[in-house]
Amino acid sequence: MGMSSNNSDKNMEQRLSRLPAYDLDFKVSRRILSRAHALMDSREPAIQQYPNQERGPGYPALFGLTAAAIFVCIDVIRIILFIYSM
Amino acid sequence: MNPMDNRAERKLISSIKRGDVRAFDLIFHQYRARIYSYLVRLSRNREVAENLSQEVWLRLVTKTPDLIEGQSPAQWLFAVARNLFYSHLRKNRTRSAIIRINRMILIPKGPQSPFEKAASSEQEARLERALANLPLKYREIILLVLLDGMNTREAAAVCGIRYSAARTRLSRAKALLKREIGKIDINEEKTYGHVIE
Repeated sequence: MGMSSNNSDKNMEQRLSRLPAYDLDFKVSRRILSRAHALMDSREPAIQQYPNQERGPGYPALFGLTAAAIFVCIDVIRIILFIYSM
Repeated sequence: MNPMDNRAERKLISSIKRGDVRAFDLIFHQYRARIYSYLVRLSRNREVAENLSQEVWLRLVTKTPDLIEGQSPAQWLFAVARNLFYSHLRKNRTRSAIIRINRMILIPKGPQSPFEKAASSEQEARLERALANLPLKYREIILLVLLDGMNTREAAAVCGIRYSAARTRLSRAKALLKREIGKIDINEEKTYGHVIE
């Protein structure tokens, strides 16, 4: 009894695994592929939109700090010269 | 079931992440019919299955960065297909369509004699009807494990349930399917009608 139930289970599973697969219509496949390709193509420029990012986010900050340091140095020299001139 | 090596598939996913169109095409051709068959049998509607298939493939492009390295693409694709189907179901609860199975394009599995063809198509029709009559949660586990050849653990991950729950569901689904097959008489189309259009 148990054996025959097992056999019929196996038989059913085999029949199920042999059921044919359905496939997408050729036109639908083409449409999906062309939409996906278009999406992938449009994704690339989005990555390269900000070229500065490749040099790292600290690049403009470093430039600003250097300029500020130069101005501070000039001011210090001017103060020293002013004191000596007194 | 799956001629492509898992490592090769994962490499392809990395290539898709980098925007490689050919890698996408390879994955598409590998899984196109499997995903579509799953959706057709789940929704029992060719049009719905086509629309949802399209959405699944576009999600693969837009959501590739979300794919975890090393994750099986099959599991990811089936989970997306399933989620899309359930969202569609929630949106269109009242709409139901009944369609003919013979309008589908079938992939032949090898040469057959006319007698074998007739016998197998009768059996196939009987099985398709029995499957279509199963409640959704039992149908989907049968589709994943017995038709697509996933193991129970993978099917559990796709369905978002525990492994033990998936095993229980699968054995209940098999019992229900057996009962349905017993009930169905292929000549009584009036009773069951056409399953898929």
